[in-house]
Amino acid sequence: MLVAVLVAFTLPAAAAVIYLSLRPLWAGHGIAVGGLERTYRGIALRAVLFVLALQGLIVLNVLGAGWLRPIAPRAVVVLFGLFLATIGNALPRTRPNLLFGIRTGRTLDDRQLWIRLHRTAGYVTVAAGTVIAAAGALFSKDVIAWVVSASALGGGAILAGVYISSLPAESTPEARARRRRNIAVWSLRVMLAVAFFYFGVAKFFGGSRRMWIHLFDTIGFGQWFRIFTGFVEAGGALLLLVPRGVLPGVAVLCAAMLGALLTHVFILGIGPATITVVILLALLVGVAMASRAQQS
Amino acid sequence: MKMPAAGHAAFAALADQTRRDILNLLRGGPRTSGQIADAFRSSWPTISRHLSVLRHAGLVVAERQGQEIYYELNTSVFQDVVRHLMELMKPAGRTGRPRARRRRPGQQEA
Repeated sequence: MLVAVLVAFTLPAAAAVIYLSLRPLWAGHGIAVGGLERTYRGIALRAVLFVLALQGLIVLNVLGAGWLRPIAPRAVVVLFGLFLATIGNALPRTRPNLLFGIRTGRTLDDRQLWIRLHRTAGYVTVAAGTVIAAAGALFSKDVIAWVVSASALGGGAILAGVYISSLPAESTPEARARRRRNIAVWSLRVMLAVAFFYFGVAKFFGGSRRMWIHLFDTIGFGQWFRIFTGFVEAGGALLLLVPRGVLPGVAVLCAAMLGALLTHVFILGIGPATITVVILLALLVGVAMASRAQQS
Repeated sequence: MKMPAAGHAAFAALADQTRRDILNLLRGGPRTSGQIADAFRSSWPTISRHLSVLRHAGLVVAERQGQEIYYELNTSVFQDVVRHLMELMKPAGRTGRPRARRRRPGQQEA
């Protein structure tokens, strides 16, 4: 029941936060010009619609619409694919702005780079969204998971390739070393984000052969703790992808991993999975230290 | 409801070879109307009219930079796909170089 209450309030709150945080893009004072307001408002409205559709699914599920239960996971995947595709469709129309897009120092400075990059990003996102929606509608659960991960990783790799190849050559050895280090840190951040996002989402759905459900039964705090942990891990993963989110993201994920370590030591017993936890913890600390070194 | 009208305008704007060629040219970066006209055989007023159609359909935006007005590509992914499909499906007789194409006297101006 607690889960139901949590969900009933979390998603509309998330929708409101998305809408309000993107609002300056069209309601602000001179931030956006021309047809841009419509583009940004359209993107925000689609995000809100997506969250509300999810909410509708969950509420129907909680209310016990029996016919919905078997198709609900598929519907979520299809909705997510369609959402991605409509966002991607609008990406080429965005311009450098304060809030939304692939915002790096370079794309914000160089309008042409921004436009080129977001056109490519639009193609990649629409393709990935279409593939994900089709997979959600047609294929089995395992194939869906595979297709979603593959299209996310493939799309991300294409974008990273386009971005890195568009950078001008660095002249000094120090600058080259700094760029290599930068790329290494970002690759690590993306890999960690993908891993944690996967773990978090897997906890929502119970995992293969309901592994996480059994595991949280053993822990004994109840299944709401599984959902909570999933939220923390998926949210922390998203934070890792935001330029300034690395320290909060690492903090959140480290807390989750320390909790996991404690449960391994005191409840579940030390096993091969403990090693994974320790490795992830070490990588998180490494990313945090490397990012701090970069900022200073 | 403005959206259907805007969508219709976009399709109408895409249904012309010269305008599709202009969009293709703008993929390389923003250009002034003079630079665009230089790339085509058509006269400057014709290009200017095409640009106005494209602008009203929202497929390009005009950006003022100092004295010059630059036209910037503003198509969505879907509109790019439609443009490609139209290129693929255009009648066989028109596949010649776009620069060399001339209007026949009776042909309707879009």
